[in-house]
Amino acid sequence: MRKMSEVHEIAKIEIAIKEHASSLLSEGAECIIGYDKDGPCFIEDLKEVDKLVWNNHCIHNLTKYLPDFEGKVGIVVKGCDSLSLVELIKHNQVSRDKVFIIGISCSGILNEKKEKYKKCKNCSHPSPVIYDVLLGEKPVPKEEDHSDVVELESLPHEERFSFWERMFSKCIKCFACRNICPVCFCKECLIDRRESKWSSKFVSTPEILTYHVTRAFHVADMCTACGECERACPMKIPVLKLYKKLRKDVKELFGYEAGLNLEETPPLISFSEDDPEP
Amino acid sequence: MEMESSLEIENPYLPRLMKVQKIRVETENIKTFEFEKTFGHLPGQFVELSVFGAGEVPISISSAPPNLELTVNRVGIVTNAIYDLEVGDVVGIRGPYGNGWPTDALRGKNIVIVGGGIGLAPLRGLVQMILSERKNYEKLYILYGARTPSDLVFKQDLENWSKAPANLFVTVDRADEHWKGNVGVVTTLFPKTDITPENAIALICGPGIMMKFVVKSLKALNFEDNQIVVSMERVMKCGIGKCGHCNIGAKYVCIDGPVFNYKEIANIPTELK
Amino acid sequence: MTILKKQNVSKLLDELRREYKVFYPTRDEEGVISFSNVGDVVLDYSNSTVPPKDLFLPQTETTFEFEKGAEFKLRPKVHIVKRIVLGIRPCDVHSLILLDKVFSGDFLDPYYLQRRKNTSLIAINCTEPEKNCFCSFLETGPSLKEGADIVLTDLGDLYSVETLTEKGKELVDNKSRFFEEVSLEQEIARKRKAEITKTIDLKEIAERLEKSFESPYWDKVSKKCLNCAICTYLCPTCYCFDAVDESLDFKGQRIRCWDSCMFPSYSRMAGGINPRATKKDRLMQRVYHKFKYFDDRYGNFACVGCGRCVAACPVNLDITKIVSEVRGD
Repeated sequence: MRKMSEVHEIAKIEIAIKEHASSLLSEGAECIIGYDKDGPCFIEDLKEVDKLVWNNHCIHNLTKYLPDFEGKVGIVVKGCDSLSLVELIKHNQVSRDKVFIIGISCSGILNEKKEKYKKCKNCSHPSPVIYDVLLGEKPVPKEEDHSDVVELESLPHEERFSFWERMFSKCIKCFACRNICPVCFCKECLIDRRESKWSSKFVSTPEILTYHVTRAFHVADMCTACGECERACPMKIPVLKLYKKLRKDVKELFGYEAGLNLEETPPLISFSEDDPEP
Repeated sequence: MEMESSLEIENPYLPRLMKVQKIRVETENIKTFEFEKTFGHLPGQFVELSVFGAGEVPISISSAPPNLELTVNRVGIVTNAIYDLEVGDVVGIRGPYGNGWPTDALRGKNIVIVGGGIGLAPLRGLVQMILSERKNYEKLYILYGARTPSDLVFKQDLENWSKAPANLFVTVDRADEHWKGNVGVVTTLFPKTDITPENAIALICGPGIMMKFVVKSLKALNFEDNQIVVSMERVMKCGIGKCGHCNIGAKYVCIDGPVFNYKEIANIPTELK
Repeated sequence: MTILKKQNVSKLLDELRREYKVFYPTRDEEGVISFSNVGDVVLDYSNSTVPPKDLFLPQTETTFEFEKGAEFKLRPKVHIVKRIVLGIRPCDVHSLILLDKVFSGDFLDPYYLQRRKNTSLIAINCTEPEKNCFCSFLETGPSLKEGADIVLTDLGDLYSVETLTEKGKELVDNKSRFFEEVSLEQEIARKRKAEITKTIDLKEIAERLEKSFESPYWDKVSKKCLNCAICTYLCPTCYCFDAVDESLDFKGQRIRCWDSCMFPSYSRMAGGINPRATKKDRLMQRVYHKFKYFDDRYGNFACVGCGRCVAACPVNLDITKIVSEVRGD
């Protein structure tokens, strides 16, 4: 059972979200992207503001939807989501001045079985790093936990490969991991370009690995480990491990961590003569 | 105990192997390929043409039976591979599929044929058939438009039809320095004709947007929905109503079409773009 | 009444494996349930993650091989292997009955039909439906009346065994040493441990859908869709497929694989024109196909109420809500 103070806190946050949504819409915002009882929702009308909720089931990373909007938009972001938003702004997918960020500090989201989601257990940014208004009590950020990556890294090569072989043999190429990822913002994914025949829709180990490994490298300096990819996977493949590994490598090679600093240039889209040779 | 048993059924996915007999270049991007006269078909039907290794695509038959001619515009992987074929190359052909133009309903009627670009291909077989039994039909109008003079297909047929017992009108969107004919989209031809809806049926094929505006022009001339017949185009992977891709509402373009009476599909606005 | 003691199931499987390829539900380390012919059988499960349609319409299969040379060769690859599927749920059995309609008709699909002909189904009735199950509304469960050769019902430490076809009766007769006959008192134990709680309003759905072609409802409801293929790939009645050629030098094959109407490229013609260019168009196509177009053509909704799409959608899109809510206004 949640403590009374927590319940009050959640209710207060929900009221505040609705107030901000109403004033933004009155000022001419195109849409408010928030949560309703069924997940992500898009409020375009003052009459619908009451649909908005805030509770401990609001797991979805809503920043995915931002590039679809042209006009001014309000959006509800948690700590993890705000890191993706920083990346979207850095890569010119979202204009800072076109988005009003309703930031929410959260202490973890629960799944249907009322357990904390795996990604929430080791949350390193419980409070948004970018916001126009901040709701909720600001918890202390923690160091990012790389232990599951380190554990896999410590295994011998054959064991690591057979781990991924077993995992990816389950993959059905539904592309949920790609489609839910906020930093996979290409309007047309190269995997879908039939003309190039780089990859096809049929399923075989080379096809599957081509997709996953290519995507991992493409988002290497943009992934903020929000964990939506792993949550979306219907076959429970721990894809986040792969992206966290690349995040770890990017940190070690370039001293760069995605999602933290609006000013820092991502290493994969910049060049300097003293770049490390991995 | 039951032994494993085999159903004795024909495999509809296996193409028949055929060799390219003749190739005629229509435009920079369009060629007509001729194959041996093997099966009878109805004008308006299509085949699934395979270039083994590149893939398989639906292609309209552009000739009247018994000739088998396929006219192809190179726009994607498979059609580019088809464009590069040479005489003697082996391809796969499945079909003929689809329903063809409603030729019985055309007898004794005034016929208005409207084609846009390569959309003239499935109509060519119909025109050839009508001209070969001319006394079975009343007035024949052929309206055809392409982007530029060099994009006109079946130039020899157009030449022949201009001298045949038919009213041929040709237009281009953009002229070159030699063009002396009409300039404008194909709907600009209607005022130049004396087409009326009395005892008439219109048959249209071309890009989606062209068909939309031609239907508008016909309705402005008071054609009823059921006097208009269209040939639709959609992505197809099987041609036999199983892969699911080509549906317009509950109808499959491959087995219920590609020829539809406009009345059948007019009530599915979301699919007609 | 014929019964099969639970402790005899493994022994029966081993016996069946001598003559058939036997597929049954298995659970992996992450909890994903799929039909396999290796590993331990798991029969106390709600339903498999991936439906058993992949045993009849595999995600990837070669339809024929080709070889260019002095003589061009074409080799079809139709598989004929005696198989048994044990533990299939009533909803999934009904999905096969629906798929049968698609793959027969004027053109018979040998790849699907040979697999169907050579596979016997031993179904298991549901006594503990999941929260997303709504099979009773589509009349596909939780109990099975037709469509399988044998149907089992969980009665605690044993299954009651009902044969529905000649094939099923023969199978039980031939393996009679694994089955027993008992008196009728055991019937009392046949009680469902849970009921279907999810609902769907199918009243006048065809008319409501027809009236809603232009409704702004679809813009609203489709906004959160990600256009991944989870709902279609996990759906037991979705069957759309793509066909591609793969080749190297002079040899190659034509491959058929699952496709999804939710992908933008599904309806995109070469040249770029796409009649379903927006998310709204694609979501409409999915709902209309399942609850109107398929019914118009084949006389059944293309949905068996298994609830997999609802459970697995990462943004909580719920087709039962959409179908219940959509109105012509």
